[in-house]
Amino acid sequence: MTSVISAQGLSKRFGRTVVLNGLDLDVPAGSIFGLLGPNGVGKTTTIKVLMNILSPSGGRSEVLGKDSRRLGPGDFTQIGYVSENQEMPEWMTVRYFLDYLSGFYPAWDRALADDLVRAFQLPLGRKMKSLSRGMKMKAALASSLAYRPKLIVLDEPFTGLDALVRDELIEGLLARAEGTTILISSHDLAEIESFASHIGYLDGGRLQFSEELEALSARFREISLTFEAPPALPRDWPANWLQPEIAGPVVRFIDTRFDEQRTAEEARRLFPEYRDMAANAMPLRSIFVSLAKANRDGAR
Amino acid sequence: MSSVLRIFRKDVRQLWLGIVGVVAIEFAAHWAQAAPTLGMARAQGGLGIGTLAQWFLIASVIHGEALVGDRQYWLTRPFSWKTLLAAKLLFVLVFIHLPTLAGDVSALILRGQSPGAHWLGLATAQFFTLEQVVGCAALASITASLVQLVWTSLAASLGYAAIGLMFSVRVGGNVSWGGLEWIHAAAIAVFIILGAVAILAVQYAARNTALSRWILMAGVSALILLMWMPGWHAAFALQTWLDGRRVPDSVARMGQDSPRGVEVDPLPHSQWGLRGPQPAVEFPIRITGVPPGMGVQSDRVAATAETANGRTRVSGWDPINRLSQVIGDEKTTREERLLPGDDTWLYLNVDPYSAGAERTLHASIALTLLSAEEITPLQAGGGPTRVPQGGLCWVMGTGNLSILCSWPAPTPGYAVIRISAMGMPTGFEMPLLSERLFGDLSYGPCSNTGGLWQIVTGNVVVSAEPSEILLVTRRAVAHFEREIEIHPGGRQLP
Repeated sequence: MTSVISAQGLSKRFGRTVVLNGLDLDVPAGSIFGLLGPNGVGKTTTIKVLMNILSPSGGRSEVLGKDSRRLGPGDFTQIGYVSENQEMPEWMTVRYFLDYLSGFYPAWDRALADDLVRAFQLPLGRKMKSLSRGMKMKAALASSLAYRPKLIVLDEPFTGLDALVRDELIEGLLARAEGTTILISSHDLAEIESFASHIGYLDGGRLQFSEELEALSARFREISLTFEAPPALPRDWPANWLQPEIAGPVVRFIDTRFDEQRTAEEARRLFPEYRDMAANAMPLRSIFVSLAKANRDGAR
Repeated sequence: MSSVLRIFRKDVRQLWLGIVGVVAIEFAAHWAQAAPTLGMARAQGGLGIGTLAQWFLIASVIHGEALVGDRQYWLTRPFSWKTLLAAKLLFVLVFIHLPTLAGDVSALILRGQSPGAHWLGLATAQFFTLEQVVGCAALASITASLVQLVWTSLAASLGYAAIGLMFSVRVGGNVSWGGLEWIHAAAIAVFIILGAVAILAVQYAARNTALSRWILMAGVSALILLMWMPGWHAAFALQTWLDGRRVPDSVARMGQDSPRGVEVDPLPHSQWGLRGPQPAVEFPIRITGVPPGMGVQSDRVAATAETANGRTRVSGWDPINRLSQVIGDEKTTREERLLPGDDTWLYLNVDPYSAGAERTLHASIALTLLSAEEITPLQAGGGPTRVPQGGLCWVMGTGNLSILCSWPAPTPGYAVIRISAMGMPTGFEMPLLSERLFGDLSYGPCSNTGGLWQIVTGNVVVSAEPSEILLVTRRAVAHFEREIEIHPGGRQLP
């Protein structure tokens, strides 16, 4: 599968502050790629570098096969970008905003734009400054879908929106962007786990992992080992077993590379006396919380 | 082109209210300079408001697609920087340049002047408008809002003033180039335009605000040096070349007027903030061969002196050094640079620490040949009086006369207000109450400040009610230089 976005060793510094530190990223064509991570780890910076809004301090990245530093007007006719903190032309009405932008896109589909206006119930006669946050996001999304871009980049699009508006946005996006590659950043997995096909987890200036959502779900398990008596943790604790804890006769940890047979064998090697092992599937939210904690503890 | 027009139309739609106001102010401010019913002071005030209005409009249109920051919606839209810049340039062309041009043209027509005859002045005025436009656009391009622009402009102005003041104290404050000030202003304008274009190019092509701000700081520093830049003599040569008229060697011949002795000015010349006190030496000069009725005006003098102890001192084209005359009686004594006559002195500032007995002194004198004088009586207290070369003059007050005149460029090269007393019997010459030179008038195609209109003002206090107020003007005909050798006769200088 070809990559619509790729980055190798991407770095970005603001003065002495290192935000990105050797980021590698591949967003496959046709995927809905969720770029996740806690607040302040550089998701927005990553996207701004990819969109040529900020220049990288090092490394390289390509978007739609082109060096992101050279993205120009022609490329932006194929890219839709919506960000939660975008400054919009507040004085424009929604109608004028869409009319104004339509002239810059050869592939602008007026029927699709009308359809989006109806679907999002956009008030055409109102000025952008009088719109609610949710309505502004809808207007921005509508203006980024109407020319059928090959790539849609959404930076924290659902932050601060109520559930209804969020669902309307997701519905509108998925219904009209079939086959389009979507890169969406969020600090809240619950927002995107229902529709993302791929997940990348950013922390410490790097992508900690990046893979298909199904594979990710499959390899994370919460393991419980039950003993006759409270055991002690061995010194050679595997690196891929996160957050070990002992609660009476039970040892719990998260296996980040779960394989039923291999995990059982490893558990038997470390705890020959365990009586029972239970492997429970984890919600994605728990996976990311545990990863964030592990990274934070590792940083300490 | 369609994208340029699309952005242009969007800007017009957004800023239409400001455009209406600014265009009206600009047009009125330029037109008012020629309106006989309006006072000149009001016209000048209008120009100040017009400049502020221009800045507001330029900043607004640039900030419509702000270049500072990383949150603007347009950054990821298919706008090429060339398209964006072209749209902004089109906007300032239509709403800044055209209204000012229209204001100037209509003002000329109102004064009965042919705009075609003043095309060079109109073009030059637009060049200086461009200086303001791109200067403001460059500042707007490195700021995100009008408030930021005001603060940045204030900081740049304060820095400029502070460094300029320090430099002035050290080097000397007289930076005016007289009638050639327009060349000085044009050189500064070229510098500002180049710097502003560099900033605009960096900002629009790369949005590198840090680099642009460095360019701004470097530019402001260099601009301060430019205020004191050398090159007056080169400007004089350029003016001579532009005029294209050669003055025969027989005109304005100069020689040492031996019967008169060298005099030392007892009063040291010093002003606060300028160079320290220095004695001045005056050498007597005789000038002959000036065509009847015509005049010669001294611009600057460069002197090279060889002292008895073999040292050589070079003055450079210092504005303090000059040829001058002392004219009038005890009450109305004044010094004038309009020659000829026998009572002419070569006035030189001398450094007392290197002075010795002058053995020879060689002076190069830059001069302007002036036409015969044109005399126009001015009407006191009433409306404006039309004066030669399309000018208008207002005289206000009685004992303390305020006189304001304005001309469309090119202006006279020389103007004097001559005021006589009333009450003398018929047949007697009326005593001269005052005769006042009207500042430095431009020799160039535009005013000294770069606009089409040269405005000069003066206040004259007279002891008696004036019966006659005359404006005496002369045109600058040609520029030339003369050399003179002076032998002070071994006089010990201070």
